Amino acid sequence: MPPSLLRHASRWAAVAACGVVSGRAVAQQASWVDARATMTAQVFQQALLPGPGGVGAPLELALPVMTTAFLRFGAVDLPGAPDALGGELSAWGRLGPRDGWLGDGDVTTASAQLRTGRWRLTVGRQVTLPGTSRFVRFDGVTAGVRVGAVDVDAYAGWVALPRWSLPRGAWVLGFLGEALEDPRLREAQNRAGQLTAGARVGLRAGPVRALVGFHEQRDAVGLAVRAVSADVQGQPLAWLALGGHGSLDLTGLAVGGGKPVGVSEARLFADVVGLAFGTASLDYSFQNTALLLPQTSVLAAFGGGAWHEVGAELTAQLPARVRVTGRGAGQVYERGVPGGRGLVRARWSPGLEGRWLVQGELQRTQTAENGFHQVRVGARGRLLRQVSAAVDASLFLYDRPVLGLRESMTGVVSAEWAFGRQLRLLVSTTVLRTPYAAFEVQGLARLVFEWDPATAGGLP
Amino acid sequence: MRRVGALVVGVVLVSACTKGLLTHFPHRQHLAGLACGAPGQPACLSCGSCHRGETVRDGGVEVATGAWHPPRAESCTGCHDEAARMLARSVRPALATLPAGKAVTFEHDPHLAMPAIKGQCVTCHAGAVGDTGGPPLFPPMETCLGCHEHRRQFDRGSCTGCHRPGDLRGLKPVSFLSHDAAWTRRHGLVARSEPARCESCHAQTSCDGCHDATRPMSAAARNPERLEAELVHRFDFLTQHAVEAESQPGTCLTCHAQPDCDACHAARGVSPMNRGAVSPHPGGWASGAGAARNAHGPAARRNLLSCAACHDQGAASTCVRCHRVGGLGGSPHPAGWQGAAPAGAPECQACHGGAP
Repeated sequence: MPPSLLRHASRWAAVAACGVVSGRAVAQQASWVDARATMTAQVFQQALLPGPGGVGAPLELALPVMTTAFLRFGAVDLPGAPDALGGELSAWGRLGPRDGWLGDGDVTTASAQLRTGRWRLTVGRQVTLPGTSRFVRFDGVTAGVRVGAVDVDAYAGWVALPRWSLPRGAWVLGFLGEALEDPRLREAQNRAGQLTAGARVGLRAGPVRALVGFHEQRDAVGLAVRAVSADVQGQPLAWLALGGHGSLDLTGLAVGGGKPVGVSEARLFADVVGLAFGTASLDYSFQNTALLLPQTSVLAAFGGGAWHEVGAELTAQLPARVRVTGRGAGQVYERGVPGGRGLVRARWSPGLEGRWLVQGELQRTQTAENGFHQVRVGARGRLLRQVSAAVDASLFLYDRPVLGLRESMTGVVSAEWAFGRQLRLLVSTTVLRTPYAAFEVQGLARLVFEWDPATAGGLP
Repeated sequence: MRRVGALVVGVVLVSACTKGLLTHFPHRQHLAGLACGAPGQPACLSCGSCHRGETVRDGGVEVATGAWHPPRAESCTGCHDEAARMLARSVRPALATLPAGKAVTFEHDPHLAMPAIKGQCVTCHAGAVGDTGGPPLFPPMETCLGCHEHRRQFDRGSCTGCHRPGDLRGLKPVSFLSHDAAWTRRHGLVARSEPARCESCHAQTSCDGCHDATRPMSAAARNPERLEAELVHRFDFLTQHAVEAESQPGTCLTCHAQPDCDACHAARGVSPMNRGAVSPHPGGWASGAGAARNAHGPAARRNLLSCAACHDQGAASTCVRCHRVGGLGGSPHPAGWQGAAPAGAPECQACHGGAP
């Protein structure tokens, strides 16, 4: 199909889709819809890890194919409420001989949002970002209102995907027949007690933003997370931005006078911004890992030590579009055990809009148990208008051998063809020699279809 | 083979060394380098001579009227014989498309009439007459923010005064909420405090692009061409992940539910729940009768999440076998421990049974 015809067809289809969604014969111009579908096929060999006495497991060829699909729409008019309705749907599915010949998949987002005046209401499967228990996906409702400089959000629902805790395959999604026959699988889908609720209050005063949030989460055993968190960010000087975050574990209050309230994590940062040469940053992080565990875990009763990290980062923009970044961080774990991370990276991105990229990176990570050096080099460029290619390689040198090897090498070569704005095909080959693969060549093909007729830009 | 290699290197070097402009057009030469305006000389050119719909001659100067637009070949025919060919050459071929989403809602005429601009295009398009002709031919957003009104809009996060709402979904902030190198560490704070602001450009699915741990294929594996993205599971992460989890305990929980570790380990035969699985721990790890000298206790206090990655099966946990009441391991609770769970809770019962 000629590209121009495809473009026209896309536009008319978008208008029609918006019209259907809005219930009008002709959509408002502000209404929009876009979609993306990605199919990724891999080929590699796999085996379980060696058994007792180093007994090897037989290799098998794996050919998994995964598809992700995403669609959203927005600014759809409702009677008396222009541009009020939006929504989002995304899901993935996979079929292939990995973990057995099993299908697998999930709906990751399925929500509709109503915005009218200062109010907003989101219903369906969605993500929330509470304090210490992060990135929670749930099926429920979020209601929000903005009054002047104050923004309030409250949410409640059932935590989605508790089946994360189960082996993939039929145990995750479950073939219908098996799920109906096997009571364990039925029980795994039971989310009656997997409740979550919380609220956030945000405040904006000049250059200062602050937020206080409360989050509670229950699992099959009982109260897993109850925390209050706070965020503050501000720019007291034109060249200085400051911010911080802290979370308090409140599960102890559940029984009154029992376990004390504890700080589960905290972070502070100071960024020097607006300098001609680049940016500089100082940061401090703290985590008490035992308080990050769901408090229904039997291990949470063991307690544990906190760890602290102080880091600094400097990014310098040099002539000829060269950017150099250096980061160093020192860590202190329980009983003063030290650790550290360091990174130096140089990136050269000549050409319009970073059309070319050449980068080199050296990293060092040190922990109490092991550490490694990493050397990485990579380049990417657009060779022709529709064709770009990338190469990326890395060498890890471990302080202590892993399965008898200190080195791990991986190289990835990929090429991508863009067939108009809608279609892109990428093929990639990975060659690796690692402690877990004496020598292996893997292949990947990825086909992306993007449908975004109302926008000049691509999908974020 | 050598020729192919040389060709590839040549293409790369030529492409890499071109300047970051959409055009080769010698703006400075036309605007400031021509002998013009005097008797017998052509009229002096202004920006509007080529970029505006109509021009009328006023004395020795071409005065432009009408709408602003990219130049057309007719603008060049007065001086150049091969106008169409020269104009085509001046625009960078193939690669020189305007980056997606860069169009803004903008009216030149009211801006040119402002006292601060004094009718001078180069106030904003300084690159057109710069010594080297380099960027910014298109003004960066900071130029727009120089005016008080736009600075206020910017501070409020009101983008749609200039950008079309749909375009916001395809634009990446450079100066405002700059998604720079440090952004990866900072974006969580911003997303928590102002989720509605993220939603003006991003779908929730955008978060899944990096954070979705439900998918069996990591973002790094799916996107091998995204070299600059701070994706954590690159290369041989299978070997690396134990060290990473040790280096920054708790960071994995940003995306992974804690039981996800054991689910993955069990699927690959390395969970204590797998019959015959090989222990990764050195001899004496939990007994003292070996080189590790019962090191599991301090290691657990240092990073309890690493233990939980394999040993969190409630009453079936390996830990419970020794640390239950009356077991060889003794109490694992820290000094002064007071549990949060009510008496008789399942997590207490695992070790305590009926005992207090």
